[in-house]
Amino acid sequence: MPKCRIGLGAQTEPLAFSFQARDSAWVRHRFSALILLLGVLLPSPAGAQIFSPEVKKVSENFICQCGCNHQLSGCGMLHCGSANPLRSEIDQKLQAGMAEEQIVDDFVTKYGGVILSAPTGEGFDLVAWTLPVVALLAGLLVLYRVVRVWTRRRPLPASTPSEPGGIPEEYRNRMEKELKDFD
Amino acid sequence: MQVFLTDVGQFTMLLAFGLSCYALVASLLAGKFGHRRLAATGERAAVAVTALVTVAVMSLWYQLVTSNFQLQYVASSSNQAMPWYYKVGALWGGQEGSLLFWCWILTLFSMVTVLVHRKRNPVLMPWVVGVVAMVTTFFLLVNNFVANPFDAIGVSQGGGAPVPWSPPDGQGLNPLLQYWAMVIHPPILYVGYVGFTIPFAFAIAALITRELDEEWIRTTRRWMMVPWLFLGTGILLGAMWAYVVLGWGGYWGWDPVENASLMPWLTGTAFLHSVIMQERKGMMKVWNMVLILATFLLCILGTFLTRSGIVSSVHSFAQSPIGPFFSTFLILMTALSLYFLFTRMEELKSENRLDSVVSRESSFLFNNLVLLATTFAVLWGTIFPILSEWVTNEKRTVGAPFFNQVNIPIGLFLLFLTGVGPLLAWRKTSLRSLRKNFTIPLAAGLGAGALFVAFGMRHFYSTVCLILCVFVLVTILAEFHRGARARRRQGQGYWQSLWILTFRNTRRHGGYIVHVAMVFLFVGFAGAGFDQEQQLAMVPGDKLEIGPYTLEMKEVESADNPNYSSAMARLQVWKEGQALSEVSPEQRLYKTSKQPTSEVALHRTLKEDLYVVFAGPDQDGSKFIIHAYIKPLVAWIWIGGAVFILGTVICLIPNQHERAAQKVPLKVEAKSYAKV
Repeated sequence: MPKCRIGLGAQTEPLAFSFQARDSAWVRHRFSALILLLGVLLPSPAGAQIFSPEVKKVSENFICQCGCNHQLSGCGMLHCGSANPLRSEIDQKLQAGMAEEQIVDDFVTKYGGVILSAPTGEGFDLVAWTLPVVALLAGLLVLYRVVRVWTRRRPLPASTPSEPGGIPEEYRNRMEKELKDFD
Repeated sequence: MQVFLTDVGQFTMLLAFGLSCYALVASLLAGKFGHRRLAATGERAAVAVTALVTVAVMSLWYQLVTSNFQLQYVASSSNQAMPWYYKVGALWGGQEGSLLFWCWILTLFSMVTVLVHRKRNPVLMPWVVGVVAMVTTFFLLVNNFVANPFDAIGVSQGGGAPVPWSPPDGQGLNPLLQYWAMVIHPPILYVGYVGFTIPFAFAIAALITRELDEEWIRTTRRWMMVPWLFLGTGILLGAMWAYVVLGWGGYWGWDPVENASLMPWLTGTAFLHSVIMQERKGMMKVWNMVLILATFLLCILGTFLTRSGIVSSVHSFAQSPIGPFFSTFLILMTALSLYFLFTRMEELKSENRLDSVVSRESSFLFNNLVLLATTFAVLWGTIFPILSEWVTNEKRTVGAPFFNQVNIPIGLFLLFLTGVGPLLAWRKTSLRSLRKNFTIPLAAGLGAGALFVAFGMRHFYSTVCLILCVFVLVTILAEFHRGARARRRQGQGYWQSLWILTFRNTRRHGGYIVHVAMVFLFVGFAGAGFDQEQQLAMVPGDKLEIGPYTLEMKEVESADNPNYSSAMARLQVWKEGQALSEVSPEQRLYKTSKQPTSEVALHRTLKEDLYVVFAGPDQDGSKFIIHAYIKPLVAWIWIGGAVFILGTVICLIPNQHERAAQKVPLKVEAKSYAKV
C-alpha cells in the first residue's frame, strides 16, 4: 500500500500523508490542512463526537435505527446516520434539564415504541417479559410431576441368564464392563 | 471460457435438480417396496448430485476470481480491487451464492452418509437418502428458479429483449465482510447448520421404519456431534468478527442472525446430554426424537427469519424475497415430523424410572429443561417484534436488555448444573457421597467469592458468575484428579494416568473438557461487568488515560490502495510508566461501496484487552477522536473456544473399549429389508 508523510522528507503521493508528534511548527501549521484532507478521504458529514457518560446512560434505553440492532449507546458504525443525531438530541435534552424518563417519553412520542431497546412492562409488551418466565415455571411443574411419577414406579424384575430370551452370559459380562467404563 | 463455464454452471445446477428429484422418488419407493436395486440407483443419484453441484460451485468460483461482472451475483458481491481470497469468500457473501454453497455442503454430507452407511444401515438408508434428497431438492429448486447465482445482467433498449451487459466493475463485497474470520466463519457455520440434516434424516427414517432400537440413536449421536462442533465454532468465529470489525467493543449483540445460530446449538446441546439417558437407561426416547427434529427445524426457521427480511438484522446483505419458499418448506417439514412422531408414539414409549430425585438422571432432566427454556427465551425475543406488530399494529424492538435480563439468570443456573451434574451418581446419590464430592468445590467457590468481594468486586451477576466458574472448575479438576490418583496407585505416573484416563473414556472426559471450555466462556462473559470506556479528542502528543493505561498519540498517517483509502492513528501504550506496545487503529473508506469501516487496534492480555477505535476528525476538524475501552477477561472467550474444539474432538474419538468392541463383531440376525 503506498504511503507518505508530509514534512519529514519522505516521498509524497496524492491522498497520502501523515503527521507526527515530534514535528516542528512547520508541520503543525499544516495540521488543519491534514484534517481537511482526512475529511475528504473519510467523508464524515457531521464529524465524530464525544458524548458524556450521562448521554451514554440515557441512550441505553434506545435502539439505533440504522439497522445494526445495537443499543444507541453501543452502535459502533462510523458516521452512523442514526446514532450520532439521536445522541446529540439526547445531549441537548439533558442540557435543557430534562430527566431520563422525560427523554424516554419524548422519544417514544416522537419516534414510536420501536425506538425502545426493550419492550415496556405494559400492554402486550408485558407478554414479552412474562412468557419466558411462565414457560420456565410450567416446565418446572411438568418436570416435578414427571420426576414424581418416575420415582414412584417400581423397578422391573431383573432377568437372569437362565430365563428364556434373557441376555447371554457373555454379553451380560461385556455390558457390565462397558457400563462400568461408561460411568 | 467465462461464458462457457457460466453455461456449465447453469446446466449442472439444472441437471442436479433433476437427479435430486430422481434420488428423492427412487429412494422413497425403494424404502416403501423394499427394492434394493432402486435404492442403489437413488444412492448413486445422490452421489452424482454432489459431483454436479461441485462443478456448479467451481464454475461460480471461477466467475468470481476472473471478475465476470456480466453475472449479477459476481457484480454485486465482488470487484476487481478485492484480493483473491475475498473473491473466493464472495461465494458465501451474498444470497444466491451462499444458498448454492449451502446446497454444496449438503450434497457433500449426503455423499459421505451414503458411502459410510449404505451397508451398515440397509433398512434405514433408502429413507435417509430420500429425506436428504428432499432437502437438497428444495435448495436446488430455490437456486435454479428463485435465486440463481448464474443470472446474467440484461439491459433492455427501446423496449426490445434484454441484451447481456457487463458493468466495468462490481460493487464489491460488503466491507464489513472483508476480514479473515469472515472467510472461514460462514463455511464453518454452514457445515453446522447443514450437518443437522443428517440426524434429522436418520430420525425420520427410524420413525418411518419403526426401527427405533439402539442402532439409529448411536449413529445419530455422532452425526449430531459433528455439526454441533462446527456450529459452536462458527458462532464463536462470528463473535470474534463482531468484536474486531464492528467497533462497538462487544462480541454478542443478540442480533436475529446470532440468535438463529444459537437456538439449534442449544437444542443440540440438550440432545447430546439426554441421549446418554437413552443409551444408558433406555429413557427419554420421545424427548430425544423431539430434540433432533427441533434442531433441524430451528435451522430452517433461522434461515427463514434471517433471509426473508421478516426481522431486521445487521446481516441485511443476505436478504431477498425467498421467504415464502422457506416458510412453505418449514411448514411441510414440521408437519412431516409431527405426523411421524405422533403416529409412532407407541413404539417410542419407554419404561422411565428414577430411583431417586438426587441422581445423575434428574440433573440431565433439569439440564434439558434449562437449555430448552433458554432456547424458548431466545426464540421468543427474536419473533416478538413480528408478533407484536401483528397484534398491536405497532412495531417493537427487542434488544440486548431483554435478552440479557431473561437469559443471564438462566445461564447462571445452567452453569451451576454443569458443576453439580457430574458429581451426582447414577440412580441415587447418598448424603455421604454428596458431602464428599461437594465440600471442596463449594469451599473453593465460596472462598473465591469472599476474595472477590474483599477486592471490591460489586457487580452482582459477574461476581456470582465468577464464583460459579470456580466451583465448576474445581468439580471438574477434582474428577480428573480422583481418576488419575486411582490409576497412579497402579504404578503409573500422574500425567500418564490423566492421559490414559481421558482416552479410556473419551466421551466422558471429552465432555468434561467441554465443560471446562464453558467455564472459560463464562469467565469471559463475566468480564463485561467491569468494562471501562474513555473518549478523547486528541492531536499528536496528547495523552489519554484509561484504567492503568496511558495512550499517547504519536502520529496520524494515511494510505491508499485500489480497494480503499485509510487513515491510521499510531498510539504508544504505556502502563504504569512502562512502554508496552504501539497500537494503530484505522479508518477505511472502501472506494466502490463508499462505506467507511473501523479497524480496531487491540493490546491483548489474559487479564484484559485494551480496545482502541479511531473515530476520525472531530466536528470542527481540529482534532482526532479516539475511543478506548478496557475489556476485562475477553481473551478467555477465545481460549474457551479452543478448549471447546479440543473437548469435542476428544468426544468424537472412539473409546478404547469401543474400538475393541468393533474388532469383535456381534452376530446380528439378518433384518428384513422392507419394514413398512
